[in-house]
Amino acid sequence: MSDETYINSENAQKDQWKLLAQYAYPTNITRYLKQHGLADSEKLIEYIAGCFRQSEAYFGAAENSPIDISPLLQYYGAATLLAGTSAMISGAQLPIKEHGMTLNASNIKRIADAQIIPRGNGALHQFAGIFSQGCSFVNGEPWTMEEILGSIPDLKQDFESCYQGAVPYTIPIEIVKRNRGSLERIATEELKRFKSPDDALASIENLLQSYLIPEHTNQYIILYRKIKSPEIGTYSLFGQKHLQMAHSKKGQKLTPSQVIIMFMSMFSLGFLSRYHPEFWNPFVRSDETGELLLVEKFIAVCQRYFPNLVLNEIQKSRIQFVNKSKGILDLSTPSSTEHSDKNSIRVRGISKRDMS
Amino acid sequence: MSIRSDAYAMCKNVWNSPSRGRLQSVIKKLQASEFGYLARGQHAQILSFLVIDQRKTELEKKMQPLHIIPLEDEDRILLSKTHKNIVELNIRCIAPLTTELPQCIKAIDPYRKFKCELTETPDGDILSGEVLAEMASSFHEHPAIKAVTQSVESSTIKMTEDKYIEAVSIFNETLIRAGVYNAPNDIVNIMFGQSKDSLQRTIARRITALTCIQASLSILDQLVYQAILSNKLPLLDENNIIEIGQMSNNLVGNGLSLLYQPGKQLFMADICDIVLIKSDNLYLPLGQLWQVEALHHEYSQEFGSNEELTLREVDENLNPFGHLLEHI
Repeated sequence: MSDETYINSENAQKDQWKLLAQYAYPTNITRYLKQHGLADSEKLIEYIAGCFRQSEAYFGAAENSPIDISPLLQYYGAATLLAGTSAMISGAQLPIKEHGMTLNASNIKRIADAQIIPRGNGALHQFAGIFSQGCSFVNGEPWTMEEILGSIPDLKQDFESCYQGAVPYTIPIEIVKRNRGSLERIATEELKRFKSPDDALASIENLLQSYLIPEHTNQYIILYRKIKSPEIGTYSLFGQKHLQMAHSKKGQKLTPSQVIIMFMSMFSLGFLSRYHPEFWNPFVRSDETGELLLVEKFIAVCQRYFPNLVLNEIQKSRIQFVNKSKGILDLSTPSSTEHSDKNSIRVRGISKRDMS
Repeated sequence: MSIRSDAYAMCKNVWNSPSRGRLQSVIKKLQASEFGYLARGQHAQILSFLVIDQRKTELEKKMQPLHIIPLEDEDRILLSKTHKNIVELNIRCIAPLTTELPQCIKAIDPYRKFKCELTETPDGDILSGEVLAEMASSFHEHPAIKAVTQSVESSTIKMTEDKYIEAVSIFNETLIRAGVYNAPNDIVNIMFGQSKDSLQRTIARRITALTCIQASLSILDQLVYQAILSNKLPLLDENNIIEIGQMSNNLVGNGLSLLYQPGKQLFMADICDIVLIKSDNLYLPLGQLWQVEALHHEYSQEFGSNEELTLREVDENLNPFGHLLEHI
């Protein structure tokens, strides 16, 4: 999703819900379905409107609830939002009968050890078909919370400080815009937890379909986008691009989208708090490892960013809420000279004209 | 069939020629030394090495403490006979003009400006007699050769050899100086300011045709040289092009600039190199040849390496100034 939309806002969390709340009104739903060539029906419209309303209510309740129950409320909010959005995008209510995953949390010592096991053809599989195309979950193959939390860009720093030695599944990218030859680069520092930089790059699905052959310098891995190639990767809340590492499951490489990764994590924490109070209660009351900080950060990120990600899917644009003055066109600053001019080595610059 | 496709067939014969392997290793050895660096600046293919060899003493005096190791005798002989083989190709290609307009022959020699005494050698074998004959016969169909022949038949312009040399040289220089994106004003003024049968335009037409022949021969020679060194033309496509820059379709020909990432397909281009572009995104016929007219290579730890090429399209007659020939 390379198209970007900037929306001026003083309260992004509130304003994203104002945008989503449009779809709690039948007129707007009918218009959306028509614009996308989808048939409407009263039942479908009421289902969608109900999902968006309930979802906002669940997220609102989660925001104002203690951590003892907020993860479950957040999961319900997420599941309802995805159900409503799926129905609107596809023009039909998904035939969801179950969550599509189970939680294995017996004898765990850390949140990171909890396992999510995909099963049947429930919500997880059906939502993945819409929000993470090409990611087909393997039933019975467990996903640990460590690998799932390690896949969320906004948690990377907290994840690495919480789980010493754990390998993240997301690599931050710096986009360098230049007059000629804009590029993306990975600081080699970001890859120190991997066996080798090549090993890390090999785990990124479709890397070579999207980029020219990566070039290694002492400080960076330089990535030039192929002309007209599809964009891969995802963006953090603050707009930083990340490349996602594939998860290897029974010989298959799977790279779920952030929406699905967050959905799985919310399910895990929601069910852990609801059905495993013997673990959750001492964890939230007297965690000694600092893992609680990571969980709290995750809940905060989901609260703010999950609805935004869903909104992006509806509007087919990466919506960024910004806060800057409007109505000023500043042309007074001289165009910046390229940073590269002083740092690059111009090896050769010759022309046939020099010879003539 | 076109001159370009016949040139490709000729290059395939070069790959199988007896001396190719030896030549390849001699040139690659030289390219890796100061000798090769100096030769590269000459842009005269095989002759570049012979020129540097001959100017060795003079260059060493000028560029102290540079020490140029002279060519070994057998390498000198190999390079000389190969260059003569290429010169023979040029002579055969322009054979129709030696009778029609002998005064122009020196003017269209791509190696005219190089003063280099070649040692006595046996015949080169990079291009066999049969290959030379086939390529020459194809080249005789070059529209510029036909244009010169027609011009000789229909006009009474008389010019000396020196005048042809001067005119072709100035014309070529004017085209190159204008760059790949522009047609020179002087030429545009003639095209739009003079009637087709005016004397000035008739002369311009003949000089244009001669300039095109020289440029096409030079490209043909370059293709032979590149075929000696590699079985593949340097390729620019989706796997190494970073960005397409300015494009121009003007009265002289097509121009283009692009940025690419040096790698296996094209490590580092050089001026006059012929490259193949295969990209759907250029809105041009696929598989066109382009000649490198300018380049800018950049490397840094922060941004990696890239090279910007300014290219001029080479048409099916190996002519980089095809539009001009057509319209003048």
